[in-house]
Amino acid sequence: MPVSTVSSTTCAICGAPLQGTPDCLVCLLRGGLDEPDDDATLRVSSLVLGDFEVERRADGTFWELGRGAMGVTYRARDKVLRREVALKVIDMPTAPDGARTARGRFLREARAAAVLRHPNVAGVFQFGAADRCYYAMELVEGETLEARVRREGPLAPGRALEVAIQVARALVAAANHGLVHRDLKPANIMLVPNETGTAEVEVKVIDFGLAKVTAEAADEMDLTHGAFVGTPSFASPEQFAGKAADARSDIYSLGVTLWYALSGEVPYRGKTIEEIRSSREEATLPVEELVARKVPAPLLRLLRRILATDPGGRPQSARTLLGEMESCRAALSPRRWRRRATLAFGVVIASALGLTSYLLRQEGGEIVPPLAKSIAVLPFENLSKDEANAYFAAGMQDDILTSLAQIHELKVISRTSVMAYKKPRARNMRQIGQELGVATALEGSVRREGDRVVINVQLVDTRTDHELWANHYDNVLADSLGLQGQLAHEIATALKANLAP
Amino acid sequence: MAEGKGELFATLRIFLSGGADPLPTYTELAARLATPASTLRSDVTRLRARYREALRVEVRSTVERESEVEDELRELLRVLTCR
Repeated sequence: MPVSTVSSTTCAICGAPLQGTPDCLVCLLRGGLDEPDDDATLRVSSLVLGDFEVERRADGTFWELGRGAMGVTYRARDKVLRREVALKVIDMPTAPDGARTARGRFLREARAAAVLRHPNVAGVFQFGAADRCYYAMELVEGETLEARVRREGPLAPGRALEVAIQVARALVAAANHGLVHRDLKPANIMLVPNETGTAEVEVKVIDFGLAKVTAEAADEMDLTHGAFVGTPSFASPEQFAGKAADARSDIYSLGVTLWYALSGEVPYRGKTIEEIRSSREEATLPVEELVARKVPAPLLRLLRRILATDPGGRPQSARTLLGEMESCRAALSPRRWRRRATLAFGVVIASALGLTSYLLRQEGGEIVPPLAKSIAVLPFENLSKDEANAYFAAGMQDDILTSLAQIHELKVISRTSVMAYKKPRARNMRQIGQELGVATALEGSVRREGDRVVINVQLVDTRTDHELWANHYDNVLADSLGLQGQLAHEIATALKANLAP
Repeated sequence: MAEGKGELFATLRIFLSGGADPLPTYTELAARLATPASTLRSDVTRLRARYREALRVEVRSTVERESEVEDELRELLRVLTCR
Protein backbone atom coordinates (compact mmCIF):
# COMPACT_ATOMS: atom_id res chain seq x y z
CA MET A 1 0.00 0.00 0.00
CA PRO A 2 1.56 3.28 -1.05
CA VAL A 3 1.14 5.07 2.24
CA SER A 4 4.08 7.32 1.54
CA THR A 5 2.01 9.31 -0.92
CA VAL A 6 -0.40 10.37 1.74
CA SER A 7 1.48 10.17 5.02
CA SER A 8 2.85 13.68 4.79
CA THR A 9 -0.60 15.18 4.29
CA THR A 10 -2.16 14.05 7.54
CA CYS A 11 -1.38 14.69 11.18
CA ALA A 12 0.30 11.77 12.90
CA ILE A 13 -1.49 12.58 16.15
CA CYS A 14 -5.10 13.01 15.11
CA GLY A 15 -5.26 12.10 11.41
CA ALA A 16 -6.57 15.46 10.27
CA PRO A 17 -5.36 16.81 6.90
CA LEU A 18 -2.43 19.18 7.37
CA GLN A 19 -3.65 21.57 4.69
CA GLY A 20 -0.18 22.50 3.52
CA THR A 21 1.16 23.57 6.90
CA PRO A 22 3.67 21.70 9.10
CA ASP A 23 1.44 22.25 12.15
CA CYS A 24 -1.95 20.64 12.63
CA LEU A 25 -4.68 23.24 13.08
CA VAL A 26 -6.94 20.67 14.71
CA CYS A 27 -4.36 19.80 17.37
CA LEU A 28 -3.64 23.47 17.97
CA LEU A 29 -7.33 24.22 18.48
CA ARG A 30 -7.87 21.22 20.73
CA GLY A 31 -5.11 22.58 22.93
CA GLY A 32 -7.31 25.54 23.82
CA LEU A 33 -10.29 23.54 25.05
CA ASP A 34 -11.38 22.86 28.60
CA GLU A 35 -10.73 19.13 28.32
CA PRO A 36 -8.24 17.16 30.36
CA ASP A 37 -5.16 16.64 28.22
CA ASP A 38 -3.06 14.16 30.13
CA ASP A 39 -1.73 11.15 28.33
CA ALA A 40 -3.18 8.62 30.72
CA THR A 41 -5.98 8.07 28.29
CA LEU A 42 -7.32 4.83 29.66
CA ARG A 43 -9.16 5.25 32.93
CA VAL A 44 -10.53 2.54 35.16
CA SER A 45 -14.00 3.82 35.95
CA SER A 46 -14.78 4.68 32.37
CA LEU A 47 -13.27 3.63 29.08
CA VAL A 48 -11.72 6.76 27.64
CA LEU A 49 -9.29 6.86 24.75
CA GLY A 50 -8.09 10.27 23.74
CA ASP A 51 -11.12 12.46 23.16
CA PHE A 52 -13.50 9.52 23.13
CA GLU A 53 -15.48 8.02 25.96
CA VAL A 54 -17.17 4.70 25.39
CA GLU A 55 -20.88 4.91 26.10
CA ARG A 56 -22.73 2.52 28.36
CA ARG A 57 -25.99 0.73 27.82
CA ALA A 58 -28.85 0.99 30.32
CA ASP A 59 -27.49 -2.00 32.24
CA GLY A 60 -24.15 -0.26 32.74
CA THR A 61 -22.12 -2.36 30.31
CA PHE A 62 -19.98 -0.76 27.63
CA TRP A 63 -21.94 -0.28 24.41
CA GLU A 64 -20.39 -2.74 21.99
CA LEU A 65 -21.32 -2.42 18.34
CA GLY A 66 -19.28 -5.38 17.21
CA ARG A 67 -16.52 -7.71 18.23
CA GLY A 68 -14.02 -9.44 16.00
CA ALA A 69 -10.71 -11.24 16.15
CA MET A 70 -8.84 -7.95 16.08
CA GLY A 71 -10.70 -5.99 18.69
CA VAL A 72 -13.96 -4.44 19.72
CA THR A 73 -15.99 -1.63 18.21
CA TYR A 74 -17.87 0.56 20.67
CA ARG A 75 -20.36 3.31 20.43
CA ALA A 76 -18.53 6.28 21.92
CA ARG A 77 -18.83 10.00 22.34
CA ASP A 78 -16.36 12.55 21.09
CA LYS A 79 -16.11 14.74 24.19
CA VAL A 80 -14.60 17.62 22.29
CA LEU A 81 -16.95 17.81 19.34
CA ARG A 82 -19.86 16.31 21.28
CA ARG A 83 -20.83 13.81 18.63
CA GLU A 84 -21.33 10.08 18.55
CA VAL A 85 -18.73 7.90 16.85
CA ALA A 86 -17.91 4.24 16.31
CA LEU A 87 -14.67 3.58 18.16
CA LYS A 88 -12.65 0.55 17.17
CA VAL A 89 -10.16 -0.51 19.84
CA ILE A 90 -7.56 -2.90 18.55
CA ASP A 91 -5.98 -5.65 20.58
CA MET A 92 -2.25 -5.10 20.73
CA PRO A 93 0.63 -7.40 21.54
CA THR A 94 1.84 -7.31 25.12
CA ALA A 95 5.55 -7.71 24.32
CA PRO A 96 7.20 -4.24 24.03
CA ASP A 97 8.91 -4.93 20.69
CA GLY A 98 5.78 -6.41 19.20
CA ALA A 99 3.70 -3.52 20.44
CA ARG A 100 6.09 -0.98 18.97
CA THR A 101 6.05 -2.68 15.58
CA ALA A 102 2.30 -3.10 15.57
CA ARG A 103 1.78 0.51 16.65
CA GLY A 104 4.00 1.76 13.83
CA ARG A 105 2.07 -0.27 11.29
CA PHE A 106 -1.20 0.88 12.74
CA LEU A 107 -0.23 4.54 12.44
CA ARG A 108 0.91 4.10 8.83
CA GLU A 109 -2.29 2.40 7.77
CA ALA A 110 -4.60 4.60 9.79
CA ARG A 111 -3.09 7.73 8.30
CA ALA A 112 -3.64 6.34 4.82
CA ALA A 113 -7.22 5.36 5.62
CA ALA A 114 -7.98 8.76 7.16
CA VAL A 115 -7.66 10.52 3.80
CA LEU A 116 -10.40 8.44 2.19
CA ARG A 117 -13.62 10.42 2.10
CA HIS A 118 -16.57 9.25 0.09
CA PRO A 119 -20.32 9.10 0.62
CA ASN A 120 -20.17 5.29 0.54
CA VAL A 121 -17.36 4.99 3.06
CA ALA A 122 -17.64 5.49 6.82
CA GLY A 123 -14.87 8.05 7.25
CA VAL A 124 -12.12 7.75 9.86
CA PHE A 125 -12.29 10.89 12.02
CA GLN A 126 -9.35 10.37 14.29
CA PHE A 127 -6.96 7.72 15.52
CA GLY A 128 -4.54 7.26 18.34
CA ALA A 129 -1.83 4.88 19.44
CA ALA A 130 -0.87 5.93 22.97
CA ASP A 131 -1.61 3.12 25.39
CA ARG A 132 -3.96 1.38 23.02
CA CYS A 133 -4.50 1.66 19.29
CA TYR A 134 -7.91 2.93 18.29
CA TYR A 135 -9.66 4.79 15.56
CA ALA A 136 -12.90 6.72 15.53
CA MET A 137 -15.18 6.32 12.57
CA GLU A 138 -18.36 7.96 11.46
CA LEU A 139 -21.17 6.26 13.39
CA VAL A 140 -23.51 4.74 10.84
CA GLU A 141 -27.04 4.28 12.15
CA GLY A 142 -28.38 1.26 10.36
CA GLU A 143 -27.74 -2.44 10.08
CA THR A 144 -25.16 -4.51 8.31
CA LEU A 145 -25.94 -6.29 5.08
CA GLU A 146 -25.36 -9.51 6.98
CA ALA A 147 -27.98 -8.58 9.59
CA ARG A 148 -30.44 -7.53 6.89
CA VAL A 149 -30.14 -10.84 5.05
CA ARG A 150 -30.43 -12.78 8.30
CA ARG A 151 -33.52 -10.79 9.25
CA GLU A 152 -35.34 -10.58 5.93
CA GLY A 153 -33.74 -13.26 3.79
CA PRO A 154 -32.03 -12.73 0.42
CA LEU A 155 -32.43 -9.41 -1.35
CA ALA A 156 -34.21 -9.01 -4.68
CA PRO A 157 -31.67 -8.96 -7.55
CA GLY A 158 -32.19 -5.27 -8.30
CA ARG A 159 -31.66 -4.24 -4.71
CA ALA A 160 -28.67 -6.55 -4.22
CA LEU A 161 -27.07 -5.09 -7.33
CA GLU A 162 -27.76 -1.54 -6.11
CA VAL A 163 -25.95 -2.31 -2.87
CA ALA A 164 -23.02 -3.81 -4.78
CA ILE A 165 -22.87 -0.77 -7.07
CA GLN A 166 -22.57 1.56 -4.11
CA VAL A 167 -19.80 -0.61 -2.67
CA ALA A 168 -18.09 -0.52 -6.07
CA ARG A 169 -18.21 3.27 -5.95
CA ALA A 170 -16.44 3.12 -2.61
CA LEU A 171 -13.82 0.83 -4.18
CA VAL A 172 -13.27 3.34 -6.99
CA ALA A 173 -12.67 6.11 -4.46
CA ALA A 174 -10.34 3.85 -2.48
CA ALA A 175 -8.38 2.94 -5.60
CA ASN A 176 -7.69 6.64 -6.13
CA HIS A 177 -5.81 6.58 -2.82
CA GLY A 178 -4.13 3.22 -3.41
CA LEU A 179 -6.25 1.63 -0.70
CA VAL A 180 -7.43 -1.96 -0.61
CA HIS A 181 -10.04 -3.07 1.91
CA ARG A 182 -8.90 -6.71 2.22
CA ASP A 183 -11.88 -7.73 4.33
CA LEU A 184 -14.92 -6.81 2.33
CA LYS A 185 -17.92 -8.80 3.53
CA PRO A 186 -21.59 -8.28 4.47
CA ALA A 187 -20.65 -7.51 8.08
CA ASN A 188 -18.56 -4.56 6.86
CA ILE A 189 -21.31 -3.08 4.73
CA MET A 190 -23.81 -0.86 6.50
CA LEU A 191 -27.26 -0.18 5.09
CA VAL A 192 -28.90 3.04 6.17
CA PRO A 193 -32.25 4.54 5.22
CA ASN A 194 -31.67 7.18 2.59
CA GLU A 195 -32.93 10.56 3.76
CA THR A 196 -33.08 12.00 0.26
CA GLY A 197 -35.52 9.36 -0.87
CA THR A 198 -33.69 8.92 -4.16
CA ALA A 199 -32.70 5.31 -3.44
CA GLU A 200 -34.02 2.65 -1.15
CA VAL A 201 -30.83 2.28 0.84
CA GLU A 202 -27.60 4.10 1.26
CA VAL A 203 -24.53 1.96 1.66
CA LYS A 204 -21.45 2.70 3.72
CA VAL A 205 -18.39 0.48 3.83
CA ILE A 206 -16.68 0.39 7.21
CA ASP A 207 -13.09 -0.42 8.26
CA PHE A 208 -11.65 0.64 4.91
CA GLY A 209 -7.90 0.15 4.59
CA LEU A 210 -7.47 -1.10 8.13
CA ALA A 211 -8.00 -4.82 7.83
CA LYS A 212 -4.36 -5.54 7.22
CA VAL A 213 -2.97 -3.55 10.08
CA THR A 214 -5.50 -4.90 12.54
CA ALA A 215 -4.71 -8.41 11.40
CA GLU A 216 -1.00 -7.78 11.75
CA ALA A 217 -1.50 -6.42 15.23
CA ALA A 218 -3.29 -9.61 16.13
CA ASP A 219 -0.58 -11.72 14.50
CA GLU A 220 2.02 -10.23 16.79
CA MET A 221 0.02 -11.56 19.67
CA ASP A 222 -1.18 -14.82 18.26
CA LEU A 223 1.12 -16.46 15.75
CA THR A 224 -1.33 -19.25 15.13
CA HIS A 225 -3.49 -16.75 13.34
CA GLY A 226 -1.07 -17.07 10.45
CA ALA A 227 -0.60 -14.63 7.58
CA PHE A 228 -4.24 -14.70 6.59
CA VAL A 229 -5.86 -11.30 6.27
CA GLY A 230 -9.58 -11.30 5.71
CA THR A 231 -12.57 -13.47 6.43
CA PRO A 232 -12.17 -16.91 4.83
CA SER A 233 -15.69 -17.25 3.43
CA PHE A 234 -15.34 -13.96 1.54
CA ALA A 235 -11.62 -14.01 0.82
CA SER A 236 -10.14 -14.31 -2.65
CA PRO A 237 -8.12 -17.33 -3.81
CA GLU A 238 -4.95 -15.22 -3.77
CA GLN A 239 -5.57 -14.32 -0.13
CA PHE A 240 -5.78 -18.04 0.61
CA ALA A 241 -2.48 -18.46 -1.19
CA GLY A 242 -0.90 -15.82 1.02
CA LYS A 243 -0.28 -13.51 -1.91
CA ALA A 244 -0.61 -9.75 -1.78
CA ALA A 245 -4.18 -8.59 -2.11
CA ASP A 246 -4.88 -5.93 -4.70
CA ALA A 247 -8.02 -4.26 -6.01
CA ARG A 248 -9.01 -7.45 -7.81
CA SER A 249 -9.09 -9.25 -4.49
CA ASP A 250 -11.63 -6.75 -3.16
CA ILE A 251 -13.59 -7.24 -6.37
CA TYR A 252 -13.73 -10.98 -5.70
CA SER A 253 -14.88 -10.38 -2.11
CA LEU A 254 -17.57 -8.04 -3.38
CA GLY A 255 -18.67 -10.82 -5.72
CA VAL A 256 -19.05 -13.26 -2.81
CA THR A 257 -20.88 -10.55 -0.89
CA LEU A 258 -23.27 -10.03 -3.81
CA TRP A 259 -23.78 -13.78 -3.97
CA TYR A 260 -24.60 -13.79 -0.26
CA ALA A 261 -27.06 -10.92 -0.70
CA LEU A 262 -28.82 -12.84 -3.48
CA SER A 263 -28.97 -16.20 -1.74
CA GLY A 264 -28.15 -15.90 1.95
CA GLU A 265 -25.25 -18.27 1.35
CA VAL A 266 -21.66 -18.06 0.13
CA PRO A 267 -20.72 -20.06 -2.97
CA TYR A 268 -18.01 -22.11 -1.27
CA ARG A 269 -18.74 -23.30 2.24
CA GLY A 270 -16.74 -24.81 5.06
CA LYS A 271 -16.11 -24.51 8.76
CA THR A 272 -12.37 -24.07 8.42
CA ILE A 273 -10.04 -22.33 6.03
CA GLU A 274 -9.02 -25.72 4.65
CA GLU A 275 -12.61 -26.81 4.07
CA ILE A 276 -13.38 -23.61 2.21
CA ARG A 277 -10.23 -23.93 0.14
CA SER A 278 -11.10 -27.52 -0.75
CA SER A 279 -14.66 -26.58 -1.62
CA ARG A 280 -13.43 -23.98 -4.10
CA GLU A 281 -10.76 -26.18 -5.61
CA GLU A 282 -12.98 -29.19 -6.00
CA ALA A 283 -16.27 -27.67 -7.11
CA THR A 284 -17.37 -25.35 -9.86
CA LEU A 285 -19.26 -22.19 -9.08
CA PRO A 286 -22.74 -23.42 -8.04
CA VAL A 287 -24.59 -21.04 -10.35
CA GLU A 288 -27.61 -23.35 -10.36
CA GLU A 289 -28.38 -22.17 -6.81
CA LEU A 290 -28.87 -18.65 -8.09
CA VAL A 291 -30.74 -19.85 -11.18
CA ALA A 292 -33.18 -21.55 -8.83
CA ARG A 293 -33.68 -18.20 -7.14
CA LYS A 294 -34.47 -16.63 -10.51
CA VAL A 295 -31.43 -14.40 -10.56
CA PRO A 296 -31.40 -12.85 -14.06
CA ALA A 297 -28.88 -14.10 -16.61
CA PRO A 298 -26.96 -10.79 -17.01
CA LEU A 299 -26.29 -10.78 -13.27
CA LEU A 300 -25.16 -14.40 -13.36
CA ARG A 301 -22.75 -13.62 -16.21
CA LEU A 302 -21.35 -10.72 -14.22
CA LEU A 303 -20.92 -12.87 -11.11
CA ARG A 304 -19.07 -15.53 -13.09
CA ARG A 305 -16.57 -12.89 -14.16
CA ILE A 306 -16.18 -11.33 -10.73
CA LEU A 307 -15.68 -14.72 -9.08
CA ALA A 308 -13.06 -15.96 -11.52
CA THR A 309 -10.38 -17.86 -9.62
CA ASP A 310 -7.67 -16.23 -11.70
CA PRO A 311 -7.51 -12.50 -10.86
CA GLY A 312 -6.80 -11.89 -14.55
CA GLY A 313 -10.27 -13.16 -15.42
CA ARG A 314 -12.03 -10.56 -13.27
CA PRO A 315 -12.74 -6.92 -14.01
CA GLN A 316 -9.27 -5.44 -13.60
CA SER A 317 -10.21 -2.34 -11.69
CA ALA A 318 -12.98 -1.02 -9.51
CA ARG A 319 -13.90 1.47 -12.21
CA THR A 320 -14.29 -1.32 -14.78
CA LEU A 321 -16.35 -3.28 -12.28
CA LEU A 322 -18.60 -0.29 -11.65
CA GLY A 323 -19.12 0.16 -15.38
CA GLU A 324 -20.06 -3.49 -15.80
CA MET A 325 -22.43 -3.35 -12.86
CA GLU A 326 -24.09 -0.22 -14.23
CA SER A 327 -24.54 -1.93 -17.59
CA CYS A 328 -26.00 -4.95 -15.83
CA ARG A 329 -28.42 -2.73 -13.92
CA ALA A 330 -29.46 -1.07 -17.17
CA ALA A 331 -30.06 -4.51 -18.67
CA LEU A 332 -32.29 -5.41 -15.73
CA SER A 333 -34.16 -2.12 -15.64
CA PRO A 334 -37.88 -2.17 -16.43
CA ARG A 335 -37.30 0.55 -19.03
CA ARG A 336 -34.95 -1.73 -20.96
CA TRP A 337 -37.44 -4.56 -20.76
CA ARG A 338 -40.23 -2.26 -21.93
CA ARG A 339 -38.04 -1.17 -24.82
CA ARG A 340 -37.35 -4.80 -25.73
CA ALA A 341 -41.02 -5.61 -25.56
CA THR A 342 -41.77 -2.64 -27.79
CA LEU A 343 -39.06 -3.75 -30.17
CA ALA A 344 -40.47 -7.28 -30.26
CA PHE A 345 -43.89 -5.93 -31.05
CA GLY A 346 -42.38 -3.72 -33.74
CA VAL A 347 -40.65 -6.71 -35.28
CA VAL A 348 -43.98 -8.52 -35.60
CA ILE A 349 -45.52 -5.55 -37.37
CA ALA A 350 -42.46 -5.07 -39.55
CA SER A 351 -42.55 -8.73 -40.46
CA ALA A 352 -46.05 -8.30 -41.72
CA LEU A 353 -44.81 -5.45 -43.85
CA GLY A 354 -41.93 -7.48 -45.21
CA LEU A 355 -39.27 -5.51 -43.37
CA THR A 356 -38.10 -8.23 -41.03
CA SER A 357 -34.91 -9.02 -42.82
CA TYR A 358 -33.81 -5.38 -42.68
CA LEU A 359 -34.35 -5.15 -38.93
CA LEU A 360 -32.70 -8.48 -38.20
CA ARG A 361 -29.62 -7.48 -40.12
CA GLN A 362 -29.42 -4.38 -38.00
CA GLU A 363 -29.94 -6.28 -34.75
CA GLY A 364 -27.46 -8.96 -35.71
CA GLY A 365 -24.86 -6.43 -36.57
CA GLU A 366 -24.34 -7.74 -40.12
CA ILE A 367 -25.19 -4.45 -41.70
CA VAL A 368 -24.44 -1.35 -39.68
CA PRO A 369 -25.53 1.84 -41.36
CA PRO A 370 -22.98 4.63 -41.09
CA LEU A 371 -23.59 7.02 -38.22
CA ALA A 372 -25.26 10.15 -39.45
CA LYS A 373 -23.19 13.17 -38.56
CA SER A 374 -25.80 15.13 -36.68
CA ILE A 375 -26.78 15.45 -33.04
CA ALA A 376 -29.20 17.26 -30.77
CA VAL A 377 -28.06 17.74 -27.17
CA LEU A 378 -31.37 17.76 -25.31
CA PRO A 379 -31.87 19.66 -22.04
CA PHE A 380 -30.54 17.64 -19.10
CA GLU A 381 -33.07 16.64 -16.48
CA ASN A 382 -32.47 18.02 -12.99
CA LEU A 383 -33.21 15.20 -10.55
CA SER A 384 -32.07 17.19 -7.50
CA LYS A 385 -34.63 18.36 -4.99
CA ASP A 386 -33.21 21.85 -5.11
CA GLU A 387 -34.47 23.65 -8.18
CA ALA A 388 -31.42 25.90 -8.01
CA ASN A 389 -29.41 22.96 -9.32
CA ALA A 390 -31.22 23.32 -12.63
CA TYR A 391 -28.48 25.79 -13.49
CA PHE A 392 -25.94 23.03 -13.11
CA ALA A 393 -27.90 20.76 -15.47
CA ALA A 394 -28.31 23.58 -18.00
CA GLY A 395 -24.60 24.33 -17.78
CA MET A 396 -23.72 20.70 -18.47
CA GLN A 397 -25.85 20.69 -21.60
CA ASP A 398 -24.39 23.98 -22.77
CA ASP A 399 -20.77 22.90 -22.26
CA ILE A 400 -21.26 19.63 -24.13
CA LEU A 401 -23.06 21.37 -26.95
CA THR A 402 -20.27 23.93 -27.30
CA SER A 403 -17.61 21.23 -27.27
CA LEU A 404 -19.37 19.15 -29.92
CA ALA A 405 -19.90 22.19 -32.11
CA GLN A 406 -16.16 22.29 -32.61
CA ILE A 407 -16.20 19.02 -34.55
CA HIS A 408 -16.08 19.72 -38.26
CA GLU A 409 -18.69 18.05 -40.43
CA LEU A 410 -20.87 17.38 -37.37
CA LYS A 411 -24.22 19.10 -37.47
CA VAL A 412 -25.11 20.26 -33.94
CA ILE A 413 -28.57 21.64 -33.30
CA SER A 414 -28.61 24.97 -31.50
CA ARG A 415 -29.57 25.26 -27.85
CA THR A 416 -32.55 27.42 -28.74
CA SER A 417 -34.01 24.75 -31.02
CA VAL A 418 -33.66 21.91 -28.51
CA MET A 419 -35.25 23.86 -25.64
CA ALA A 420 -38.66 22.91 -27.05
CA TYR A 421 -37.93 19.37 -25.78
CA LYS A 422 -37.32 20.27 -22.16
CA LYS A 423 -39.73 17.73 -20.63
CA PRO A 424 -37.99 14.33 -20.72
CA ARG A 425 -41.16 12.33 -20.18
CA ALA A 426 -42.85 13.90 -23.20
CA ARG A 427 -39.99 13.10 -25.56
CA ASN A 428 -40.44 10.96 -28.63
CA MET A 429 -37.00 10.35 -30.04
CA ARG A 430 -38.16 9.42 -33.52
CA GLN A 431 -40.26 12.55 -33.70
CA ILE A 432 -37.38 14.70 -32.44
CA GLY A 433 -35.13 13.18 -35.07
CA GLN A 434 -37.59 13.99 -37.82
CA GLU A 435 -38.39 17.50 -36.59
CA LEU A 436 -34.77 18.54 -36.09
CA GLY A 437 -33.34 16.47 -38.92
CA VAL A 438 -30.82 14.63 -36.73
CA ALA A 439 -29.88 10.99 -36.55
CA THR A 440 -28.74 11.07 -32.92
CA ALA A 441 -29.77 12.77 -29.72
CA LEU A 442 -28.01 13.01 -26.37
CA GLU A 443 -30.09 13.09 -23.23
CA GLY A 444 -29.03 13.01 -19.62
CA SER A 445 -29.87 13.67 -16.02
CA VAL A 446 -28.03 15.40 -13.22
CA ARG A 447 -28.54 14.67 -9.53
CA ARG A 448 -26.74 16.53 -6.78
CA GLU A 449 -26.76 15.05 -3.29
CA GLY A 450 -24.69 16.89 -0.74
CA ASP A 451 -21.19 16.98 -2.09
CA ARG A 452 -21.84 14.38 -4.80
CA VAL A 453 -23.00 14.84 -8.33
CA VAL A 454 -24.32 11.91 -10.35
CA ILE A 455 -24.71 12.30 -14.09
CA ASN A 456 -26.21 9.78 -16.50
CA VAL A 457 -25.99 10.35 -20.24
CA GLN A 458 -27.10 8.31 -23.21
CA LEU A 459 -26.77 8.73 -26.93
CA VAL A 460 -29.83 7.54 -28.83
CA ASP A 461 -30.29 6.72 -32.51
CA THR A 462 -33.43 8.69 -33.29
CA ARG A 463 -34.26 6.46 -36.25
CA THR A 464 -34.52 3.33 -34.12
CA ASP A 465 -34.76 4.69 -30.54
CA HIS A 466 -31.82 2.42 -29.77
CA GLU A 467 -29.21 3.41 -27.23
CA LEU A 468 -25.87 3.81 -29.01
CA TRP A 469 -23.78 4.71 -26.00
CA ALA A 470 -24.35 5.51 -22.33
CA ASN A 471 -22.28 6.37 -19.33
CA HIS A 472 -22.58 7.13 -15.64
CA TYR A 473 -20.50 9.66 -13.77
CA ASP A 474 -20.37 9.83 -9.99
CA ASN A 475 -18.09 12.48 -8.60
CA VAL A 476 -17.47 14.30 -5.39
CA LEU A 477 -18.34 17.88 -6.00
CA ALA A 478 -15.58 20.19 -4.90
CA ASP A 479 -15.57 22.89 -7.53
CA SER A 480 -18.87 22.90 -9.40
CA LEU A 481 -17.69 24.96 -12.33
CA GLY A 482 -14.47 22.99 -12.71
CA LEU A 483 -16.29 19.68 -12.44
CA GLN A 484 -18.96 20.80 -14.89
CA GLY A 485 -16.33 21.66 -17.47
CA GLN A 486 -14.36 18.49 -16.82
CA LEU A 487 -17.38 16.22 -17.14
CA ALA A 488 -18.59 18.03 -20.23
CA HIS A 489 -15.16 17.51 -21.75
CA GLU A 490 -15.19 13.80 -20.84
CA ILE A 491 -18.65 13.29 -22.27
CA ALA A 492 -17.85 15.24 -25.42
CA THR A 493 -14.65 13.23 -25.90
CA ALA A 494 -16.56 9.97 -25.59
CA LEU A 495 -19.17 11.20 -28.01
CA LYS A 496 -16.56 12.30 -30.51
CA ALA A 497 -15.30 8.73 -30.58
CA ASN A 498 -18.80 7.61 -31.50
CA LEU A 499 -19.72 10.43 -33.80
CA ALA A 500 -16.58 11.74 -35.41
CA PRO A 501 -16.37 11.23 -39.18
CA MET B 1 10.91 32.04 25.29
CA ALA B 2 12.30 34.80 27.49
CA GLU B 3 13.33 32.26 30.08
CA GLY B 4 15.93 30.75 27.77
CA LYS B 5 13.90 27.67 27.05
CA GLY B 6 13.66 28.13 23.30
CA GLU B 7 15.38 24.86 22.56
CA LEU B 8 13.11 22.95 24.91
CA PHE B 9 10.08 24.60 23.33
CA ALA B 10 11.26 23.66 19.86
CA THR B 11 11.50 20.05 21.00
CA LEU B 12 8.19 19.95 22.82
CA ARG B 13 6.04 22.03 20.47
CA ILE B 14 4.98 18.88 18.63
CA PHE B 15 2.90 18.05 21.72
CA LEU B 16 0.87 21.16 20.92
CA SER B 17 0.95 21.36 17.18
CA GLY B 18 0.94 17.75 16.00
CA GLY B 19 2.23 17.38 12.46
CA ALA B 20 3.36 14.67 10.08
CA ASP B 21 5.84 13.11 12.51
CA PRO B 22 4.59 10.67 15.14
CA LEU B 23 4.64 11.87 18.73
CA PRO B 24 7.77 10.61 20.53
CA THR B 25 7.28 8.78 23.80
CA TYR B 26 8.37 10.50 27.00
CA THR B 27 10.92 7.76 27.54
CA GLU B 28 12.51 8.27 24.13
CA LEU B 29 12.52 12.03 24.46
CA ALA B 30 13.88 11.92 27.99
CA ALA B 31 16.79 9.80 26.83
CA ARG B 32 17.50 12.18 23.97
CA LEU B 33 17.41 15.26 26.22
CA ALA B 34 19.12 13.57 29.16
CA THR B 35 16.22 14.59 31.39
CA PRO B 36 14.06 12.47 33.68
CA ALA B 37 10.82 11.46 32.00
CA SER B 38 8.81 12.80 34.93
CA THR B 39 10.38 16.25 34.47
CA LEU B 40 9.59 16.11 30.79
CA ARG B 41 5.99 15.21 31.50
CA SER B 42 5.70 18.20 33.82
CA ASP B 43 7.26 20.45 31.17
CA VAL B 44 4.71 19.32 28.62
CA THR B 45 1.84 19.82 31.06
CA ARG B 46 3.03 23.37 31.84
CA LEU B 47 3.53 24.11 28.15
CA ARG B 48 0.03 22.96 27.35
CA ALA B 49 -1.46 25.04 30.15
CA ARG B 50 0.35 28.19 29.07
CA TYR B 51 -0.52 27.62 25.43
CA ARG B 52 -4.16 27.06 26.32
CA GLU B 53 -4.19 30.29 28.28
CA ALA B 54 -2.56 32.27 25.44
CA LEU B 55 -4.90 30.83 22.81
CA ARG B 56 -8.01 31.59 24.84
CA VAL B 57 -6.84 35.18 25.34
CA GLU B 58 -6.53 35.55 21.57
CA VAL B 59 -9.95 34.02 20.94
CA ARG B 60 -11.48 36.13 23.72
CA SER B 61 -10.57 39.25 21.75
CA THR B 62 -12.77 38.05 18.87
CA VAL B 63 -15.95 37.31 20.86
CA GLU B 64 -18.16 39.39 23.13
CA ARG B 65 -18.20 37.29 26.27
CA GLU B 66 -15.77 35.01 28.08
CA SER B 67 -18.38 32.27 28.01
CA GLU B 68 -18.28 32.27 24.21
CA VAL B 69 -14.61 31.30 23.98
CA GLU B 70 -15.23 27.61 24.50
CA ASP B 71 -18.06 27.52 21.95
CA GLU B 72 -15.99 29.46 19.44
CA LEU B 73 -13.12 26.99 19.72
CA ARG B 74 -15.47 24.03 19.37
CA GLU B 75 -17.12 25.59 16.35
CA LEU B 76 -13.75 26.14 14.69
CA LEU B 77 -12.86 22.52 15.41
CA ARG B 78 -16.15 21.34 14.04
CA VAL B 79 -15.58 23.23 10.81
CA LEU B 80 -12.13 21.72 10.46
CA THR B 81 -13.02 18.14 11.25
CA CYS B 82 -16.61 17.53 10.18
CA ARG B 83 -17.04 15.65 6.91
